[in-house]
Amino acid sequence: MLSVKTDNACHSRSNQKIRDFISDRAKAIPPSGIRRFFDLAGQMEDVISLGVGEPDYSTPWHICDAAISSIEQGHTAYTSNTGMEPLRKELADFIRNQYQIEYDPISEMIITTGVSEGLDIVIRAVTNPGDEVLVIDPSYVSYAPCVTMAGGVPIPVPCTEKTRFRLSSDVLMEHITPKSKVLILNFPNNPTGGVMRREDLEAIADIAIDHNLLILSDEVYAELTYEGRHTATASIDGLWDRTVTLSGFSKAFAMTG
Amino acid sequence: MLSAPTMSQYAALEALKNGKEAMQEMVREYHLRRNLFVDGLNRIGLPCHTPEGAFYAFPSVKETGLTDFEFAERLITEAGVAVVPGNVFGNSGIGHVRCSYAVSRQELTEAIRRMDEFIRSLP
Repeated sequence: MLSVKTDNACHSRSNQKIRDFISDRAKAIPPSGIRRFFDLAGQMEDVISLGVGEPDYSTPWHICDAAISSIEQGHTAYTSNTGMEPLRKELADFIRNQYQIEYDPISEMIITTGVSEGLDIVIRAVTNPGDEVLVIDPSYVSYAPCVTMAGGVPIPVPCTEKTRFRLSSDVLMEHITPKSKVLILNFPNNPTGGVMRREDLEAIADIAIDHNLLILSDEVYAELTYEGRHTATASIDGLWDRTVTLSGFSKAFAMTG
Repeated sequence: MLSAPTMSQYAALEALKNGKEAMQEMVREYHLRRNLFVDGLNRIGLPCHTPEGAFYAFPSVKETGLTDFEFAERLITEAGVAVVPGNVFGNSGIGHVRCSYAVSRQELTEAIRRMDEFIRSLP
């Protein structure tokens, strides 16, 4: 992050020069309003913070210990670009058991540094200039900027209280154009806590197939489902081969850092 | 990116192998917190749809007469509770605030008490 020093009289120490290099795409992204509130909360005493999306639990010690002993054993070099094979295999088993989706750990999975990196590289890999990417609204703050940085056009698709914060197929249809290429889903949803049931996803599947959409499904909160079980987007008939499933360890296992 | 940090990959592998029980315990606790917090929000006059997943409640603040931004700003300065105005998540978030309930039940109870007091102080 660039820090802004408005009262810096010393020109050699000004960051204005670096700021002049900022690309048009980056300039087009509005600053996130969320930061201001974290800063406010940080400055005050006796504040109860319900602001940050992070578990209050500490990472279970045996997990920390595994990280420590990996260093002690000298495992500090690069792994395969797609991540350690034992991890991908274990993950394939976990996903099969939990969500009934089948992925080949050798050719169909990649370990990234969190969902944000995964999302960014997929969006950049599939977006051509001017492609429209349907993004559910409200949603996590970095989806739309990722699309903009990749040269795509984010199209917000409302998921409001009226539909229990689910994506309705009627509302989705209203936003489809010949330029629509990708649909970003995130259920259970940040910030609403909304979930999609199997029948909701099936209605979306018909549209995705008819209009040849790729679905990026961020399911990082999948384990945190309270009524019944999570339904994975890729487990819906006809969606496996047009869905990229993204998930992570930070929320469910309390290991954001 | 060449590869995710190696030590984190070892940690992730351990989480998958032996972390499921601790995870389920956390999920049970989040479920209890959700019920406690969402009931509280509805009781004090912030209508909130019951979230079925994640650890966020997204109540409407429209009935307070404040925008979500004003509500969040005044709530933190006047009552010491930090929430995020819904408009930062897109136009459909306007009129709501996001509250994470991944904090202790004691803190949630106190947060509800402070929010109640704040709402009562409004004209």
